[in-house]
Amino acid sequence: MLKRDDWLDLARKLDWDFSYVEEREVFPEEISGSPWLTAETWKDWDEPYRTSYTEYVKNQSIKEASVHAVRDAVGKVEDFQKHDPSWINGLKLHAATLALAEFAAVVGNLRAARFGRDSAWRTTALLGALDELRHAQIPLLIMHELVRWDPQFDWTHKFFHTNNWIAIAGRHLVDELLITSDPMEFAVGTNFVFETGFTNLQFIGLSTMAHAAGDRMFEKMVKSIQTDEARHAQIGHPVLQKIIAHDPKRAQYLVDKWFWRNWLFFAVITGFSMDYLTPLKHRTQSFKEFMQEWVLDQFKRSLEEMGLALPWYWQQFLDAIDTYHHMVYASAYTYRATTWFNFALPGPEERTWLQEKYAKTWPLFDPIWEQITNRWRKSGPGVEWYTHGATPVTFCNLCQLVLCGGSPERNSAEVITRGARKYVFCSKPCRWIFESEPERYEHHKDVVMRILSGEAPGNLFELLRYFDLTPSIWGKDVAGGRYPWMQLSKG
Amino acid sequence: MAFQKIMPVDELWQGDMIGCEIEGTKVLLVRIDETIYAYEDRCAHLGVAISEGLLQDDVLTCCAHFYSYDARTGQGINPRSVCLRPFDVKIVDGNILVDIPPNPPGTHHEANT
Repeated sequence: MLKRDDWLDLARKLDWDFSYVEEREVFPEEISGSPWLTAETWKDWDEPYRTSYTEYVKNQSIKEASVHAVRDAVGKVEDFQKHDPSWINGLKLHAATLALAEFAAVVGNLRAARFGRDSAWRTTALLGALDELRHAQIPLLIMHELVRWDPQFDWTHKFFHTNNWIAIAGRHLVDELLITSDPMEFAVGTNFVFETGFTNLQFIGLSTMAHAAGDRMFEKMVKSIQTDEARHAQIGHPVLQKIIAHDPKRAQYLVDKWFWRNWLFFAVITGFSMDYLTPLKHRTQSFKEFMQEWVLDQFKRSLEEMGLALPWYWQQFLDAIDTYHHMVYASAYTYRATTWFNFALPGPEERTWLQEKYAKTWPLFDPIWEQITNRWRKSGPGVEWYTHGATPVTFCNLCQLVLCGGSPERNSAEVITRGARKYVFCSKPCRWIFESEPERYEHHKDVVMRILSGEAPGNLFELLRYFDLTPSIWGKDVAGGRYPWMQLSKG
Repeated sequence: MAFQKIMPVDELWQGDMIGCEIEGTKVLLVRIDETIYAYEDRCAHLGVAISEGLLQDDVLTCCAHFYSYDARTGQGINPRSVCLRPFDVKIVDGNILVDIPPNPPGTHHEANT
């Protein structure tokens, strides 16, 4: 019998010459991606980490058994009830934004499994689709148990089906990145930038914090998911190399576009968790430090190796690491009822830690928290609305998130007029992405546009209903303002 | 840099591995039968400690993404294009000594693929 290494290459490369159809009919450019290249050009496509289907099934089965074993041991409601409430709310944020986004990635992978231009690529993408199916199911399974304890966990499944503003932003990203992109753009945006560039932040950085917080279930979940990532993420590199060889301008454009869009997503999801929702004693590094260790160095090295330039907005991005997630968190805290999870108020110890980690920029944010804290002191515990905004805010017409570019002193919002409509953007890169493909984005209605057109209500309380939120679900302060340090300071 | 004493041989059992840090360099010690091998404790992929993974027979598997290596040579099995950074080992008076060259830690060894 042949050894694995002797037959695997033969089994990976199963392309044949078409005799009664044109190659362009089998792989139309519209759905296979640009630049369109002949099969001959793709022949040397290679994924360094090899997997046969038999090995895949065997390995995945072991991984599944292992997740189930941990769930049996520490995945019950009472296990989660032991954790700090802040941590639990970080879980709600992750579970909701993760589960169905992973399901959307099934679609992207399946498109590549049919329209990817090399058979080894298509096979790797097919296994990727099976991976993503699993990544959707694991959080749904684990969090389902928790719904009877805390109905906010219901949003693990519900989130992407709502008109909540974060879901609108999430769909705007996920629909383009995972559901509608062609396999070449998917390979750059998802496999290369998202999975190779960013997910280590989540799956290695955050799982380290989960370990420190004693949440073995979350740690196991993200680690198990991560073991699949490198296998299908490796599609990105060889596809990007081909685009660079034949259309370097497009390669640079796709990298620049998707790095920025993915950055904003991770800044909110992971930035909130690492710097605000993980209890201080369990924080191993700041979001910024994780970004530097797991994203910046490696991403810069990858770009250099491939002969690509750093994105044109690199300095702006470096500045944003110090500010952006702090801006969004402060903004979202004061509009917490518009979300499905609860927010922690950073106390004196947290603020000292944030000052150490963000020495240059934290002095801009500290007064905001001082003011919020003073309002809590004035109102007393339980009076959520005294530290809450009352009028709807403005959103970016590209990323659909609140206008939180720049700093508290100088917002980086930009406005353009196109036809009869004005468009506002949180930052230059968001504006640049929109203006690069305006026909793709111009008809999308952000929250404000929906209000102005009568589709959504303008009154905040009615808007909460439009966001699918009810009093038992909508976000509150995690302690209802009852912080031991707040009482102490009072005296 | 000269050989440095890490631990007694008897404390590293056959078929076992251990990770330790010597002056800022993460070191992985592996014992297969009577032979001890030392590598930098960093997967060539993303630098995750190999000692947190698995040693089965003579195959080391990283816990993060399942990159696998031949424990006797450090050569990548899957993918084949990578390798672990080996350190020289000797046994003196029942102790494991490892020669850690003064290369900057964190050097990656992924070959161009």
